[in-house]
Amino acid sequence: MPFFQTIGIRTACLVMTFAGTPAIAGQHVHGAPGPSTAAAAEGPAIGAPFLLRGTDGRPLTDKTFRGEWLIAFFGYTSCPDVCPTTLTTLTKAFAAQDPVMRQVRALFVTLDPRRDTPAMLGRYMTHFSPRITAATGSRAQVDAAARAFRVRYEIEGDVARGAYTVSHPVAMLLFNPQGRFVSLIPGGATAADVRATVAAFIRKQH
Amino acid sequence: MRLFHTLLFSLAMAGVSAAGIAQAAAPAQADATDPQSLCFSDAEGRPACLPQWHGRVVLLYVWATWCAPCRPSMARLDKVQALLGGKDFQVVALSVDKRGAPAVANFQARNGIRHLAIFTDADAKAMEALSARAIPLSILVDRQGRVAQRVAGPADWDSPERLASIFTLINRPSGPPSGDKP
Repeated sequence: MPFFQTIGIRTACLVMTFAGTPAIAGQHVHGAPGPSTAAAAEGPAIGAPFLLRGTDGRPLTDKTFRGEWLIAFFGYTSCPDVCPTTLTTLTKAFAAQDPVMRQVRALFVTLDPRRDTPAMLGRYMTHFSPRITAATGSRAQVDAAARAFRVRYEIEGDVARGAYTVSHPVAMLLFNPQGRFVSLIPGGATAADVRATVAAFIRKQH
Repeated sequence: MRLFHTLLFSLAMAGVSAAGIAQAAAPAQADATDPQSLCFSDAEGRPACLPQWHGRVVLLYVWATWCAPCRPSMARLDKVQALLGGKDFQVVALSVDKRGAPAVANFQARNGIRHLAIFTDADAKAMEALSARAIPLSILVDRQGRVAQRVAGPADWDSPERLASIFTLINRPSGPPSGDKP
């Protein structure tokens, strides 16, 4: 069974069991909640609008990646104890350069614009695939992007001293070339899982 | 379908956080990974596989130069390798850097790391085989190639407590693992 279908079935079971419960399940330790189901069921499309800046300083909006499949995810470079391997996984997925992944771009949005300046992000991203675009902006712009993607996060610690962490979801969001959200890809997905999920939605679209 | 997608989205985004990855990866129960089949590359790009150290206790450390919490442990591991490395024990520091051995060599030279051999997993095959959703990740393997401990996050392997766990494995007679806690 394709990976994304398995995730859909498991999550459907969660819906039936926990419907209406605000802070559901999951493995979050520092309590970075996601959006309420009520809020997410209403309102504009997920992933728009937003205005951020790339590492080259150029603007990035929800229209920048139209015409391509887009995998968007959030994080920051100053991992406190562990660094998710999402960027490495996506780099591996893109390295295959197969017909599926050639139709895909990825967008990594930092939730820590204070430390993740365009220059800092630019240096960091040299470790990963060039098909992954990193984005930052002002605090207000990043917050607006997080709202657009329904991503809630928490900053914990002493920001003024620079001793803080950011608790955030690690799931990736898949958007079709028309900019419509189509699926989540869990943060622990392998490169093959990512490719299989995208491939399945490409087939569905045609 | 749209409501299903938004509900699916809400639940999943309420779920795993980056801080939670460490929690999820920390339990010491045996995982499905078979270290016997784990292969990567040495400094010259030649294949290296975990079974080549069969008969020694191995501390496998998955890391990357871009991973801030990974870096301080490298000096500690260098000390541990200097102290214990030999016929009974080996530290295998496995970098998942895309740039491979040159990136690791540069890091090690700048940081005075002298005793750790360079091993790389530039195509992330070993990382995925280990189900490493976050790094750093330490896996202590006994002389028979069985996983004895799995520790997510920085671990002070040069501390008395951690060294004791290594010595326990080194001194254990051949037989089934005793189920050490991390």
